[in-house]
Amino acid sequence: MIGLWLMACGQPVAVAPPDPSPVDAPASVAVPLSSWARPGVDGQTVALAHHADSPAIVLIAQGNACPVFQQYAPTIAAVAADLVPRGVPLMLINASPQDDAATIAADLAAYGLTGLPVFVDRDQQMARSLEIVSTTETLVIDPRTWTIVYRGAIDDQISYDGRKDAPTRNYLRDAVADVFAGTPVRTPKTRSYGCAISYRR
Amino acid sequence: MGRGTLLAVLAAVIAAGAWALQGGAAVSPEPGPLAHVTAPVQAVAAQGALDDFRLIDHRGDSHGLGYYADQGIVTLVGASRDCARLDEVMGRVSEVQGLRFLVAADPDEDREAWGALVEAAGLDVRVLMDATTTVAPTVGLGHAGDVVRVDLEAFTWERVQDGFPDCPLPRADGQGLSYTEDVVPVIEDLCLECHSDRRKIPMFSDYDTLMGWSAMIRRTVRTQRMPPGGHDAYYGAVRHGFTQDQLATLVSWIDAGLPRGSEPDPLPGLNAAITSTSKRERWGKPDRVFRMSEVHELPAAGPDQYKYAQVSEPLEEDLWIRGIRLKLNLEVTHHVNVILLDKPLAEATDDWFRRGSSDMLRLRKTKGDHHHYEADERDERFLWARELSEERVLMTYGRSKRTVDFTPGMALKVPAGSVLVLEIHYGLTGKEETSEIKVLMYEHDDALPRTEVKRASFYRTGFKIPPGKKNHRVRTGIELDRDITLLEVVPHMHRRGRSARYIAVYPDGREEVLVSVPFFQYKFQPHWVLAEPKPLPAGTRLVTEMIYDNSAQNPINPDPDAWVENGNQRIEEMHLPRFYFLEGLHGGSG
Repeated sequence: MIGLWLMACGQPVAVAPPDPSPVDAPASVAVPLSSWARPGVDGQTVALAHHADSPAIVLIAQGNACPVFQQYAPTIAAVAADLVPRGVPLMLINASPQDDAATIAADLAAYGLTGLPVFVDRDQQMARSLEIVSTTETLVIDPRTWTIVYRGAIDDQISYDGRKDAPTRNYLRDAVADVFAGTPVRTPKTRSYGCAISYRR
Repeated sequence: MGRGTLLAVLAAVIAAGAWALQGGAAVSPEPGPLAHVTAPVQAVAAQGALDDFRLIDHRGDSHGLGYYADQGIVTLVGASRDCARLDEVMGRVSEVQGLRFLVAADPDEDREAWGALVEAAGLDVRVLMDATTTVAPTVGLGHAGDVVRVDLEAFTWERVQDGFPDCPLPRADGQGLSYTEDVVPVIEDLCLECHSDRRKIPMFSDYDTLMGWSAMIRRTVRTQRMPPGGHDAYYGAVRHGFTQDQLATLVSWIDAGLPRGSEPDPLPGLNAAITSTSKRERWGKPDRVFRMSEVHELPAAGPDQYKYAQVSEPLEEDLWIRGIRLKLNLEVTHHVNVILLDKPLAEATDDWFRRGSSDMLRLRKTKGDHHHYEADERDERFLWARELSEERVLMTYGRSKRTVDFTPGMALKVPAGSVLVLEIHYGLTGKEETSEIKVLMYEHDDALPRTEVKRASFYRTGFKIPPGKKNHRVRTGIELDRDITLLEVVPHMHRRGRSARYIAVYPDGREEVLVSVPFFQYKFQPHWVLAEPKPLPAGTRLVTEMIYDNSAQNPINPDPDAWVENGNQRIEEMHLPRFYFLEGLHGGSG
């Protein structure tokens, strides 16, 4: 069963460390952040190392048909419009086993998110290594140290129980501002609400 | 092996005293489906990241662990009624500082027994009922007496004291479950209609898709957000309800790694069978179709939208309706009330919202009478409803498969002269959407005798919820001046609504919870249809209790700093218990 899944990925992968459950938080694999690269939705390589000179990198987990991610799409587009001109790339990672490059591209296009680079992480090794649990989980990476300086929600607008008219806390925006200011991120970790990613055993 | 067999085997396991075994003896369930075994399938970890969960306690209140983030630390103590060292378990509970819960892995869900146990121990502690026995092992509770400290800031947990090795907790084991025989029937019953491959979140197209979504399926079931409309079956069944066994089957099968078996995958065929044709076959052709005259265009983002649409001219004759379905854009439509007005929408003023008393229902209304309904520490002043009226709302659609679908022979009257109006709440989806809602009505079959279904509400005004208050209880009630038979209830609250109960206080003083919704989800506003119509004799007091959460812990609270009063605005609150009934006593035992 699992073997078939991996074959369906169409690319050879290393054997993942065994997980006690397909839904447990993924065990970390010690791989330097700077080394992660994956094909994008167009097949071109997407790599964190390409952005070594950026003041920060924002990486958001995406999954097709996830209503939380979809409701965040306009916010993500606005964040990208704000950050990309300031030299901060906004990148997405998809590690959902039920998605592939073509359906990811179509889903993003439907929600106005074309043009953002996507790590199509079919073998889930990158997401596992980054310990990403669900979609909309957002990482702010400081390329000077190649460390994750923020992990959590984009803001506090949307939870599983509904959405506020507007966010009252803008976690991502504040974290990036702290990085720009050269100060430690004041809120380095928050709880994010999204669609849990199923990791293959 | 089918559901019947599963239950039979479960029953056999129960009869064999599987959960009563002590001394760590392994139970060998019959090969095959779900069993709650007392020997751990694998060792329970000692620490980990918190995977949030929600459980109902022995008094019927619902607790989502993540909700208590403002407490910082919550302590959980594992318990099993079959443990001979329960006194020692209770002793450990008594030593815990701060917020604490007992977690009872108890497939029997014997709440009264647990209530007696904690009372006997002199403890003020709620016992979380892990009836599926799938939750305890995921937070380090493998034995009675295990003490686990949950850090809700870091969202991690750690076992700080080991329990008693001779008291292993029962634990659902999904290894023996058959995908095709045990799991797919649960999916077909509970999940497929709203998550088929024709829907926006197609989780169940086939086995591979299901596997891809399995982590999310597990999370939503564990947190009791799915299946929606979390009704507490302990107080009696509702139509379209679910059982703890069904949930245990789904979650323990996922936990076991989703064993596939070798049978052909039934899901593609089941998806194909869910077509508009099948619905047409089930419902027949609608007798009346009302549609919006203009399309609503919704933006991608921004605040939720509230709109009205008139869908009929004044009706020329009475309609007798046995069923109503709505055809709509499911993704963007949060809920819809189908309302009857006595004039066109353009002429209606705000006062048609205010539910004035009506001559059509002569249920007695009582003012200022503080009756004997027992108060507890959360009690607020009890007030009789000031107004009782025929409900202007004909039905509510609230993101669930439940709709008006009466037993043959029962029908709602839509009087001549009525104007049908839709009151619509749109929740935006992230992309632009359009909405053009159609109301399909199915008329009573004149060949059958006709019993009129009446609908009413009693509307509590005059409550004030303090800023930041977590459990603000608002109660009201009416005394019935005639025999009625209760069919369905629709408790309506806004974003601070947390739980709702309908309680009967019979003329002899006996109290009975008729429907309990311990975890009210604002985004679902279903009709709760009693599996068995409930006869309520004249003199019965029908009491409703709704609890509101005006704290910052309520993630959709528009303003935790505000005093909140009754009102139609979404920043205000409502205590609007609606119900559908027949006059007279029909069926059941009262």
